[in-house]
Amino acid sequence: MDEKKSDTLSEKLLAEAAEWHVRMTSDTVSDSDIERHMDWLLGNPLHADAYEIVASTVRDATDFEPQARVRFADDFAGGIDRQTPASFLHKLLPKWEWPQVATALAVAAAVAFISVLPLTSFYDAPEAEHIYSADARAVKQIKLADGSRVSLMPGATISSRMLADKREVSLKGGRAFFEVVSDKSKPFYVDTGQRLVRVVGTRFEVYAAADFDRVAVNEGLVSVSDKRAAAEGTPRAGIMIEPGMVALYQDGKEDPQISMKSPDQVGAWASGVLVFSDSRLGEVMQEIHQLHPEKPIALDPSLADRTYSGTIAIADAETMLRHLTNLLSLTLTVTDSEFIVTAR
Amino acid sequence: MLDRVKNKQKAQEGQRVSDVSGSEHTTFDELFQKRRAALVRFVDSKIHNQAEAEEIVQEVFIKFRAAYDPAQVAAPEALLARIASNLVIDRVRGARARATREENWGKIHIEGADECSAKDASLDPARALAAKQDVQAALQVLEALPSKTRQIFLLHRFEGLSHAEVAARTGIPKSTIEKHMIRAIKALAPLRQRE
Repeated sequence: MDEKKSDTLSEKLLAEAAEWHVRMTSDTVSDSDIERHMDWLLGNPLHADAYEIVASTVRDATDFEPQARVRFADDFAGGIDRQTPASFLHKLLPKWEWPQVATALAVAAAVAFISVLPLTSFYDAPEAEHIYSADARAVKQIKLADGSRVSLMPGATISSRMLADKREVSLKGGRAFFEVVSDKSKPFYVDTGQRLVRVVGTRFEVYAAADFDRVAVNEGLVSVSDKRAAAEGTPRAGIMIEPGMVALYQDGKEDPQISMKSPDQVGAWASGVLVFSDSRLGEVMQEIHQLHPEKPIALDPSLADRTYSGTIAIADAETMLRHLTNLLSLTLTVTDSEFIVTAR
Repeated sequence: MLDRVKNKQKAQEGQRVSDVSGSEHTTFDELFQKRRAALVRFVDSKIHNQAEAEEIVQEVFIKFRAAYDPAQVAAPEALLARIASNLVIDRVRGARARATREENWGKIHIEGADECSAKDASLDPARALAAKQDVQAALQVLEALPSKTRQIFLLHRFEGLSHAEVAARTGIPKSTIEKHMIRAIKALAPLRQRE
């Protein structure tokens, strides 16, 4: 489309074209609609130009689909399923008001309970445990009673308990990114079963896999200690992990392997997307497979060194792979036992 | 699952043409059949010769088959209209100077379409940057839309819901859904026009 022609397409013309486009994509297009539409297109050469612009606008909206799915996750949820959408933290703020109300009610109830029954054995009982898990479809955002926020990768489960002197979260498996509200009187612990991660106020990620634990810090400091050594009466000083550090604890080894990455990249997935910058396709596939280990991904070896820069919205494995293969013009074949990615 | 992959490949191999929504397919024959009457009426109104009008419309279809490239043309019916208009002008002026124009019509929408295949386009850094900026601009436009309008556009375009299904999901009447769709497309189209 040359500049001159574009300039002559008025807002009115585009509006008319948009009206026709919506009518023609409606579920009830009649043959007479099609004829009248053709009459309109033939009535003025600019109509055809305007219509092509409108049609390509709608067609090429797929160019920004992944980003739109992340940024406007609530719109996709559409008020039907409020439990599962991945979303940016700021988008969820209004929804987070209800736990605060619940907390206020719980505190009021607790005060009444304590003043009425101060001496019963119930008084010492730990506060209720809350269990949260993310299903396979998307990252789940949770706000804990103390205001701390947790993002759960699909498949991850935590339970939390807010006690008088500490805050405890058990990571039952999977990856979780924590944004802990500072409260020096109540340290925050993440228990992976093998290890205890202790923090005061910070942003960090814990990954409890079947055969390793991994801790990475975005902001602040955390200390990781070995639970077994402590239980056996030979406690060792916790290892301090600082921003950008990734500590990988393989099962059976006492000391972690330490690697570094940009602190910003730690927990970047908590916004609902995986971010890649000149990453090899082999690594990209590995990230997707880590998220969805249930089915292997076979990548044509000639593609392994090809690089990818961009984002992929976290979803089920097939959706993520389909998005990636479409972007890179590759072929995805889905069988019952594996995903196969080959050159087109 | 494999069957689905095979079916998709089969569909791509067949001679099919994207319809305006880009989500469904119709054959050339279906496209022509439903627009034939309007085209003949249009040509006849210009040249006042029914028999010749029929012939010209036949030529429109032949030229369309040669010129149509689904990667470049989003609205095949707009290309049909363009070819028909040009053939009428040719007939009226008795000139054939425009013979190649309609064949190139699909290509001029995207600069450099000849040199750069769709496959390579995604790997070209300059194009990637431009595409990134386009994405940001589109997201800004969506952000600025009223939330209902944005939601309706996203559900229809990306979730594949029909207007009636969007109406059922949101509880908004179908006629209002269509008004929101028009509003969203009107807001996004100027981005396309700047290209």
